[in-house]
Amino acid sequence: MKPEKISDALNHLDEDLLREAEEARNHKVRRRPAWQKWGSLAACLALAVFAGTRLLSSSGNIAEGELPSITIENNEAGAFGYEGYMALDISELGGANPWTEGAKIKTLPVYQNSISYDEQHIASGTDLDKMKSLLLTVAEQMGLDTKTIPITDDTPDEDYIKAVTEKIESVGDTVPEGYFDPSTVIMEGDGIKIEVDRTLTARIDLDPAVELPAEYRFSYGASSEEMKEAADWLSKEYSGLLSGMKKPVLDQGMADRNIYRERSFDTVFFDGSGSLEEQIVNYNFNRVAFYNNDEGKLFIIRVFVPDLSQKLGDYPIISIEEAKDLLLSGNYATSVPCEMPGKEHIAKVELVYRVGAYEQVWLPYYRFLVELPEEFRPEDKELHDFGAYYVPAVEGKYIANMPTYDGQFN
Amino acid sequence: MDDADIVSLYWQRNEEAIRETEEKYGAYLGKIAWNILANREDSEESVNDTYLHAWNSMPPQKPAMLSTYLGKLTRQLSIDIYRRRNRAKRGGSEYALSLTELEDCVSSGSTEDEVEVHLLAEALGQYLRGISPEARTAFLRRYYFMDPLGEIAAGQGFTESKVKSMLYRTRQGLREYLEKEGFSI
Repeated sequence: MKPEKISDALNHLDEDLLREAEEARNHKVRRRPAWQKWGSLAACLALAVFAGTRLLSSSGNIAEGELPSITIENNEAGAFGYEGYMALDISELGGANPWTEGAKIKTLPVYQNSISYDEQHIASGTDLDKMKSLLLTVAEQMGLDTKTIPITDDTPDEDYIKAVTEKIESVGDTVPEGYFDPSTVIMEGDGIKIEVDRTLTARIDLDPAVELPAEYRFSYGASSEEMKEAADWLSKEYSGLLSGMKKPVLDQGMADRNIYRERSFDTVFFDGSGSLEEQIVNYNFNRVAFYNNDEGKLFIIRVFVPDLSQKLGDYPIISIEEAKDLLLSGNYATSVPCEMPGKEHIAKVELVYRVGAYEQVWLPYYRFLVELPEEFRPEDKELHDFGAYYVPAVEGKYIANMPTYDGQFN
Repeated sequence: MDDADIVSLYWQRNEEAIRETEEKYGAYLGKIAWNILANREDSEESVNDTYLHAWNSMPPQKPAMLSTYLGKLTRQLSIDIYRRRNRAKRGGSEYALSLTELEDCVSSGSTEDEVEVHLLAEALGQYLRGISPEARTAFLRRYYFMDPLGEIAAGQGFTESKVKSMLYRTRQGLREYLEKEGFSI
């Protein structure tokens, strides 16, 4: 078969798939139309089998002072893309995680995600007031005149509402309540566009993109040191966005390689002040990220301030050795389509929260990076692929359904 | 102007339809054509052909999503132009690059064992519905809209290297899926 055949076949895909990608190109929040559920039936069944990622709320009546038990599920389709990091050596993989293997931590907070999604990916729990408040804060930090620039939102136009309503009704369904409600609030002026979505992430688009002074390199090919220098300049230029941080710390991310051996370094700041527990929370949740375009200019900034108001409690944390025992017993979750290959393959461990928008409870996990067997190695045999295997870091008695590897990847 | 009003103009055989289409979607269609052809004149020809095809197809067509409908036309017309002008060799455009990458999903086999495009499209749709929304969007942006990697990375909040890796894995997954579904790769 020739690649042209695949390319041609793409022109015959269903419109809802193309529409979804088209919306992503236009920076619009993805809406998953109800009719899609028929087409997605097979995928939904597959998800049900490998118990994806829907986390349910805590169980029934909880006595005062008692920590609610946590049910781990997952409704995010990992499918054919898995979480793996390529490196020439494990020591290359890093990040500024304040947690270290020697950290003395007894408890860590667990939070309920205030946004939940039904089986049609329709969200509930959107808090427009909090979104607007964040929008105004970020707009002021960016120097916009919030008194004169109006706040708009992404409520779809009448054409779209009409077309989608007809489509849904044509399969005998009805439009769910709130389906067309806004999911993003927007402010735009002086070449700056700020959009805040329901997860309380502010995306700032800069048009034209901002060129750093000539002595800085802020590009895909830049070294770690060059990116650090650029980050230093950015932290001063956009100090307003970091003003809530007592001690901004740069995180350059995992810095893994792609199949062409190229490394790339993120530019993300979090607050490194306070107790270790506070630093861990800030590292995982409260972040400001700067993005370069192909020309080495700054063109997007994201400010992450997820809603942590629904705290379930401070949960006791197990040790690395206890987590390792669970890992070797198969009590883990992974998107890698391969059973944990054995103790001798464990290359690295760190403590992280899984903070995806679809995670219904945000709890800490031990993330084991495990060297994957030969068949997973890229064609470039000097590159190693390290898969991520997650073991809940919260004591097992609080986990209603400890993950168990069942031959499927979850 | 609303899409429904533009479609009505086509149905009334009012030539304003083309002017309104150009005003609302000219840049969008131009970008699709440019990604494939990397040539200004060819891109303009493709977009103009799109308006002609839209004029000839409405009525009877009454697309609910005008942008998607027109985008498909431009994409196909641009690929046709590309093939006409580049029979001897490939080069230059995002389309050429995307074809090179898609070779991961297939072998350089003969045309005898090629399957019907619509069956392949159905399998592609099933595969794409089963993968994560992020992987699906990246795949379609790269291989349907032929967007440059840097734009995809920026739009999705990933690094370019992450997008490359994600696409690589999606292609490998697609290859396995198509083989499992009985397609000759």
